[in-house]
Amino acid sequence: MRARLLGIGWVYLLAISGLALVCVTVFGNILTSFADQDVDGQYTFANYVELLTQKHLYSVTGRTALLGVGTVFWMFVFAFPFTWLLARTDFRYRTGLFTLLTAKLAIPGFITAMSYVWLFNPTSGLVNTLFGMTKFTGGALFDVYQVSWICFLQGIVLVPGGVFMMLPAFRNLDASLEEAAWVSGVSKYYTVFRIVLPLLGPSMVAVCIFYFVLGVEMFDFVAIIGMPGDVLVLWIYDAIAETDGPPNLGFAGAAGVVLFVICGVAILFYARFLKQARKYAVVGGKVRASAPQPLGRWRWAAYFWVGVWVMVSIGIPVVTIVWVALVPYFQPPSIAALDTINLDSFRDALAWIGEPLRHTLILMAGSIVVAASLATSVTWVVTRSRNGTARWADNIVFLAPAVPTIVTGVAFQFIGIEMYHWIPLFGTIWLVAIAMGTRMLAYCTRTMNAASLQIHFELDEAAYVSGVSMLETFRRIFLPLMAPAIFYSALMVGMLAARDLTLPLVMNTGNSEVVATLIFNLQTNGEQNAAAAVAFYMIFVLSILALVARRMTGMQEIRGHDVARRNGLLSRLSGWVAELARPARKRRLEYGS
Amino acid sequence: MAVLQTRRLEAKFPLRDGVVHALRGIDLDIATGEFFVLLGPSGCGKTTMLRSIAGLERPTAGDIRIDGHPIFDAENGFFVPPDQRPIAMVFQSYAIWPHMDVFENIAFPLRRGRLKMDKDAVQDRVSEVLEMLGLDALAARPVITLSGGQQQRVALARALALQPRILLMDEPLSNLDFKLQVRLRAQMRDLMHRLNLTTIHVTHNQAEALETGDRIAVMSEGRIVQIGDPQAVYHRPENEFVARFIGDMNIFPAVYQGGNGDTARVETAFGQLDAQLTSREGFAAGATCMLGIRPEDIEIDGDIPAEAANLVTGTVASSSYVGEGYVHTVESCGQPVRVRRHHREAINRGDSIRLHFPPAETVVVAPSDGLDMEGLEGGLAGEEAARAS
Amino acid sequence: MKQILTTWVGLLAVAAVLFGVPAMATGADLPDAVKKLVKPAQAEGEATVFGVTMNPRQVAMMNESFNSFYGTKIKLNQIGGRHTRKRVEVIRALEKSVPTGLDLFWTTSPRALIEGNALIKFDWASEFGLPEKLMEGEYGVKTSDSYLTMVTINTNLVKPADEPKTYDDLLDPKWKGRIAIPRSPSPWNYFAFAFGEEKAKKFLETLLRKQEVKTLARYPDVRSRVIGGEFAIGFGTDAWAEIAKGAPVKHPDIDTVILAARGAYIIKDTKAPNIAKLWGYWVVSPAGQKTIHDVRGYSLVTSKGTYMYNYVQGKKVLDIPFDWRMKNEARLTKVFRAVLREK
Repeated sequence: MRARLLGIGWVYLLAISGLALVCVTVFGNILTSFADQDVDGQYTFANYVELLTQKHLYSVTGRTALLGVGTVFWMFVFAFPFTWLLARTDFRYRTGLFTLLTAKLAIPGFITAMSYVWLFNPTSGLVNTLFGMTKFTGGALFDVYQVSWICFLQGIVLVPGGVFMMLPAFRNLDASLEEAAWVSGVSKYYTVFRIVLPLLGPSMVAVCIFYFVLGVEMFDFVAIIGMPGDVLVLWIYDAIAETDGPPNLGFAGAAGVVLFVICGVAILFYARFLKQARKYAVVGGKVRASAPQPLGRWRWAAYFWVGVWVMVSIGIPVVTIVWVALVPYFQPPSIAALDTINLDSFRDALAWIGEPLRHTLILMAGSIVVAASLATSVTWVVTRSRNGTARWADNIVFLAPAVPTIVTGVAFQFIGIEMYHWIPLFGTIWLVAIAMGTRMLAYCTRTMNAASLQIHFELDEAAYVSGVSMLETFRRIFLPLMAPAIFYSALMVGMLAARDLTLPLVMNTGNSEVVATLIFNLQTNGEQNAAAAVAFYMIFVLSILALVARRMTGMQEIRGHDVARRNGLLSRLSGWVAELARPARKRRLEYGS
Repeated sequence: MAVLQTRRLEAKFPLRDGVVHALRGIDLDIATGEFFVLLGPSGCGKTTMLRSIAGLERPTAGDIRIDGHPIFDAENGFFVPPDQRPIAMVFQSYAIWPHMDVFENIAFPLRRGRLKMDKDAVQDRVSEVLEMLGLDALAARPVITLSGGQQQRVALARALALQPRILLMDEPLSNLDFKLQVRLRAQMRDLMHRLNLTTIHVTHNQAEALETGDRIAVMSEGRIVQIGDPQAVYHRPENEFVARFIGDMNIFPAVYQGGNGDTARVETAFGQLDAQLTSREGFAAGATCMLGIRPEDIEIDGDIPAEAANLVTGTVASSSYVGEGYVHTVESCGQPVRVRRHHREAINRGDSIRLHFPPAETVVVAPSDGLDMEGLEGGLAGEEAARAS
Repeated sequence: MKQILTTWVGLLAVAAVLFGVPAMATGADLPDAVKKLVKPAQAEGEATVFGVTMNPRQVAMMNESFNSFYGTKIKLNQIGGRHTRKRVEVIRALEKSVPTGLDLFWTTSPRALIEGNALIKFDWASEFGLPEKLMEGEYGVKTSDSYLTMVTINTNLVKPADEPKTYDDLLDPKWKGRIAIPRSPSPWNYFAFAFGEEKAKKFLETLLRKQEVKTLARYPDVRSRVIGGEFAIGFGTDAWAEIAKGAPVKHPDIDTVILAARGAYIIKDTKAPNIAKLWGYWVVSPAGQKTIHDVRGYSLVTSKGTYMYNYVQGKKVLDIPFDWRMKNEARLTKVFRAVLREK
């Protein structure tokens, strides 16, 4: 009896650790907002007073929310049709699209931002100059310094994450629900609007709200491009990055809490819709995968739309990276600049990237281990332990992305100091990995919860009643069946861990420079060309890694059907999961229990 | 001695808008080698009962013993987790692990479960059950390539391999096509008897229950409303619920007039009738009760013995063919009476007809309040219609 | 050991000739107070200097110069990052006796560290015989002069005749929408020292409202976007390295130069106090000055031949005293932050 509790206790322990880490960031932020700037250990409302008396608080808050909404809009405009193409049509280049989506994850945000500044800034933007329409010649054709542009750029950057999150729901939709409408004489398009979209609605809204939270928290674009007026993350950055004197953590905390409130409202909706999504999942279970719909003439529209995204979100930044790497200093393309092109930066970058790359790989591996193990445990407790009180914990996890990355970094650094005498993690790359893993926890649990709900409970119970302990069941039944979801989560975590700059920069105390900080250091020192070359290598390495990981695990196709036909272990598994969910659904439908 | 014993088992589940009272004081004693069936409509608590025995649910009150050893006792919070109980279970969904082949599905619990058997012993045990269930050829097959019937046998093999004290089965046949179900019922019962394995079988299908069970417990709303062998449950229902739920029975309101404990005389719309008093509770004179008789037990004109009492006269209102016979509805004193006959006879609509309710087959039971008639009627009749099609 | 040292000195001499290192103090003619630290420093082996972001090439240059100066094989980790946050972290780590992992803090604003009791007092002047004016309070040694209000122009966009000569020239309507500044209040603290708080406030407000300057979150962005031609004028950063590479930018001659010291401060829990001290002595020596100049364009305005030396010639130079900064910076930062947020 005791041994058994000890066994599964490990899973609970991990889940509780995961929640504790999330609480560190969430409550750390709230606590800081009450911290007295002058007297340590004293609490005060002064930070809120300071924040609330800011003249522009309301417009800044409003603009922040607008930024989130706009970001989601653009993310959705691309992510929704792409998910549709991948999951439900006979689009020819599904693998290619998937690969490009993965590759996009490896491109640093500041490169994308920078390339758009070059092309569309109102004073010297290449496109504006080309048309002879700049700010100084009677008005710019394009002005990238606008909230709308930042929304657009943030949106296209978030497309891969959005697609990966929505795919499962799209794939699981029972084809017979559509077919039932068609055979009842309802037109195909009407069916999409009245049957398919309402069924997918909750999961789509959930994804939108998740990315709303990320959208208001993103820093790269608002910092580099800028716009008239501020948003909250800029205030937070200012307060923490103050060059003189101590950082105004209290003010940053209070601004963070406002960010929280905005996101909290969104997350409340999210929780509601998630609940509804669960309800729908019971009705629209994975009874039968749908046959891919022929695109017909629409395929040209599909090629066009995919082409637009590839160009704006991959083409332009990658060309920019290559160009920056080739010229000695940051400059827009010109005939004169062509003379100065050389490959020195690629040579330098190769010489410098070694050690940071090693650290980056360690960081990736560490983050993946942390995020995957914590998220799997949280998912198990939330979805499978039938522990009623566990569900609310789920909502706390979703709050984590609302904490600005900088604040997360600071919180973990302080916790690292407090805990040092018990666990000497402070100053090591492992603490960065833990912080990174915690930040990604929400993404992972979102993906994994959905997958777990697809696996019938009786599979666990069959093991228990056969005398298999809970831990053993967790290891040998639950984990293998969750493998596809774990894989996609790990892919996402690994990519973002490799790219993220903020946490390594905030938390680096010594020698563990990663590629992201190397790029930053080079850039700060006027060696943008080497920075770009390093970024180029990084995109290359990460894309290869992602492809190899997919090939090794056999997850080459994304549609449930194709996966099942492949030979890879994981692909077989996902096919089995699909197969398995079947009797469960049927039974629920029949007996309504 | 009873293998399984439960006392005053109660289970309540909190819901957002109230409490579901799934078990309301269940007392059971199941003997070694018995094939015991829990039968009832959906939501009656039978599955909760089975899962409580398995340890998958934790009842709120009462206790459970296996071979006299407590495995659950609400009073002192004692609870043996499912993996420590000497049981095995077959699920409705089969719950075959999709990432393992047939052999591995059976071997995994032996190797990693409570028994922790070594490699050779596992090999022997698995081969033995595979052979017993005719699965030897499929050992290396991935389970998702199996048909429903094969999957069901794998699930059964996995359970049997554990050689449990009690085998629990949760609607194991309900996902199979009808012919296969019927064939497997007998096979399953014979196998368990041969192995002398105590089995608790949950089903909502009465035909399955009547065919397989040594004893049947009929459950309704968390209670056992009757427990007994199939014949007793079928022919001597103890209350209106069982009378209506099992098979097809004509039920008429009646007023108790008197009796000797075994037989009763009641006043009905048809007049005074004699019947068996199967209800466990006695009645006071003048009390309301229910008179029941199965359509196939009603005799008509030609069959009626000379000095029969319990005669009823009516008019044939309709006749329908139900595959294995005919059901005639006879209007008598404003009450419809269903009569079942095996052969086609010259009975036409509008004919006046004399019916005989043999006292030995006519029962008097206590009325049950608030029964969901829709859910209960047409049990076996419906099934037979299905069988014929 | 002695033989090795001699060999090193010999090699150094050769190296000095080969690389044209100007005559300087080598291992042989160090003051005794410095010389006696070399051996223990070598035993410490490694030190981490926080404060200035460097790329791998620059880190290598620092190591090479330092080691050839002393004839040692010591590893210097030169790392950069957010000073603000790092200061809090160091103070907190020291309170909890958690190793900070740092030995030297190389910064323009040590105030929080001093108040947080995170530094070791060291009298560089009397211990090592350095000029008294290099002392930053009782703790640091001034390594370079930083000019945070420096103006950068894009030479393709600003005709020589239009080059600003004073700060007030930046308020000319022709630069409307063509100036980039950092979002940081720090340059305005300097500005306030030179011209008074009121004038600084008004100047900044005019820039923000009338001139519609673009505020950028990070200093390096100001530089790179002036080079890229997006803005004609940048404020608050230098571009010496890019100028050296031929980028189309220059620092126009503005009449008043406002300087604040960048100093090196020894962290309380240093594991390598001797290296830290040697680092400070080396960095103010001609060899050290040349190195940080080559690496980042940093130097004291008194170091001949450096960018800053050349730039300040013939201009009015205001050096902000250490004490003034300690007294006023905190308050002024709040004032100018508010103005920046008001924009």
